[in-house]
Amino acid sequence: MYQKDFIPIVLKVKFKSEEPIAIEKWKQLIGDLFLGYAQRITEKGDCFIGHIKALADISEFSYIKFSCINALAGVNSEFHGELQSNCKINMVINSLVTNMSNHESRKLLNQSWLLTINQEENIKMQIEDETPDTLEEHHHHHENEPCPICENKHHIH
Amino acid sequence: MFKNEGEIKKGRPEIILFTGFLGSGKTTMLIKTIEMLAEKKRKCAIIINEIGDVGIDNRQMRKLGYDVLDLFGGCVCCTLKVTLEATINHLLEDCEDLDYILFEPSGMADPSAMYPAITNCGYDVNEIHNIFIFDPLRVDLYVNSLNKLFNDSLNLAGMVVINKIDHAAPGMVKDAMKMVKDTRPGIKSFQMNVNDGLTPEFNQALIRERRQ
Ligand SMILES: Nc1nc2c(ncn2[C@@H]2O[C@H](COP(=O)(O)OP(=O)(O)OP(=O)(O)O)[C@@H](O)[C@H]2O)c(=O)[nH]1
Ligand SMILES: [Mg+2]
Repeated sequence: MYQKDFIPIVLKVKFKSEEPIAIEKWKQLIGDLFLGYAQRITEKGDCFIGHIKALADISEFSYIKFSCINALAGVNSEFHGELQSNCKINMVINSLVTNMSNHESRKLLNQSWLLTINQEENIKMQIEDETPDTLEEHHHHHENEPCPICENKHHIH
Repeated sequence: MFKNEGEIKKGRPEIILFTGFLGSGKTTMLIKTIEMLAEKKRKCAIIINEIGDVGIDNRQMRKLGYDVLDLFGGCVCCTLKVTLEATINHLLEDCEDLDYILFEPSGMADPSAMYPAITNCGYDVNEIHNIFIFDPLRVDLYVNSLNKLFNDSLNLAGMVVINKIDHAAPGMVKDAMKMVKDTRPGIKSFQMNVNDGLTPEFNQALIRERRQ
């Protein structure tokens, strides 16, 4: 295995609840989701976790950061900011795992959610559709220009 | 295209590199280091290179109130060489009173790959403070699969921090320490739970390492 074998995947996730939920509960819920996701990746056998991390947006200056490098070691989560209750949370997951496609990541995350969530609780999770790769985000050149740095060799997924 | 500062400028900012594999704890260490330097009224610039179309570390830093220069992209090899050099040159030209540049390369990066970009900006290899963050939970991975990365990282480092000592089993920490001693006997090493803050010994060593 080489460092370069880890495939970067970004998933944008939205959580929505009918009732406001305390941060501690979001932290536990998303932490469980994360652990289930990491466990499913590990169970596949041919995947190795480099780092799965996520930032859940609580407010402009508040966040919960989740991190997992190994399902057996569990999930680290840390909250920063002011304690509050929220109905909606946006989260970005950045996953670096070997042999794992975007499609499969979504599938495993959705599976993990079904087991995490108690059906009586009115909380929904939605993973945003795959967005096409925006070159600007990579190297700050315009979308219709070839990348002056890597001549677009690195934008293939 | 990019200005090459051939000669060494006096009083230019120190460069601190935080190296270590994916998830080792580089961002955590960087944040604690800024907090420590900010207490001493030192002015820092932060450069982060993250893999993936959307960064997590840069968002975290911004929420904490820090400005971050992102080196974006899925291509460590190329962005690090050209964009890093341009970014450092930009800082050297436009931020005169800067004391430190703190740089977190991606955990996938080959640490030696970014040295030319820094030396092209007029720095000497010996002036680069390279802190290797060694997560003891990765001992097996380094031994079995990423041995070259481990050796290269440790050989370039000025000091090594074995972190997560609160989380890893004592045996893992011991194994990590042994690997360090066997590969680089004599390197300055520290063991800590970084979430609890940097140890005074580490802070002293980092400040003492400062170029005269
Ligand atoms: N228990 C414990 N956790 C730590 C320590 N240092 C870092 N962590 C945790 O490890 C996780 C990953 O840390 P990061 O700082 O994001 O790691 P990184 O090396 O920047 O990760 P990448 O940028 O993705 O390669 C976070 O949840 C940290 O809180 C430590 O000393 N003890
Ligand atoms: Mg980081």
